[in-house]
Amino acid sequence: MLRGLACSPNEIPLLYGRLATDIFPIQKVLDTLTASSIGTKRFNRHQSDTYKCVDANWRKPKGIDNRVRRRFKGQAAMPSIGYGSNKKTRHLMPSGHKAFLVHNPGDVDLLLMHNKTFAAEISHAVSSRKRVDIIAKAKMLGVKVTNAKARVTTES
Amino acid sequence: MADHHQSNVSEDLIWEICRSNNSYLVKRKSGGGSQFSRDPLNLMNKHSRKYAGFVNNKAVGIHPAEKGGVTLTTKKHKHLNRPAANKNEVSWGGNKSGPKIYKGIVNYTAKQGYRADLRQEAVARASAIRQSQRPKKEDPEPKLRGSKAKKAEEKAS
Repeated sequence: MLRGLACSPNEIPLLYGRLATDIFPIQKVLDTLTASSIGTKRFNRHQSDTYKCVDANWRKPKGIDNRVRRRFKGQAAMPSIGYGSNKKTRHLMPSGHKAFLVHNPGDVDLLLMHNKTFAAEISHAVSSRKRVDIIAKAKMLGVKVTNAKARVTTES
Repeated sequence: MADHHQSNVSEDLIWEICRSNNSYLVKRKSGGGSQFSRDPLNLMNKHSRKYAGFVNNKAVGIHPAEKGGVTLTTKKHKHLNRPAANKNEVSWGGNKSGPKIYKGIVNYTAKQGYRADLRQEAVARASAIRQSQRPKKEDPEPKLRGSKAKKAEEKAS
């Protein structure tokens, strides 16, 4: 049913005059959205490709003659509010969850009532011994762990 | 006039003071800036006026008890300035059926007019806790693919 829907990225498809996310789980709708709606594209600072002393971090060009600022044809695009992703899919991972950083099993407890909307992400500085405890706790509570395999599994 | 049982600080004032920062509050920048609460009297672990147990004079908390049971905690209306003496606790053992526990929770809270607005959340939390106490299935062994599968086959034969 959803598969046949044509939709552009950053737009929730309509079904029977309602948003598809109101009818189907967000997961199904997400699957139908193109991958580009989930991936992020960076805006590079003007002339960061020509000079190595100009960093790629975005700065708005301010010069009076600047061709990027004046939006000439063929120039780099500037960030604007129109590039924002749809509110319903913003911050979502492809699984349909939002990420929540956890450092210990106690942090996982917070997600007991939110395991459909949030997934736990173990902080990078947590040792493999403590990761095992966190993952066991998450399994009991039915909480998804995004990086459950990191540091815990070994290559044979 | 407030008698000695009552707090002389209103709930709303406490919330206004504590909502931006308190020891229960957990803030994260990931996921669009989420806010949770570690408050034991917060049914949803959500940082909000409705669920904040330390702010409301009446609040409900549900936690796992020993041997697969559930404990219900409520705040007494008396002695608001004595948090240690201010708790009512009821426990159900793990051998009680789910619906009996939920009925008990509703009887203790919503039906007595004690935070009827938290009826659904209280039952949902008790249910989630009971679900978490059940033994979980082991993850299935991952199926080997490609060269790893070939190697395993050679070893076996």
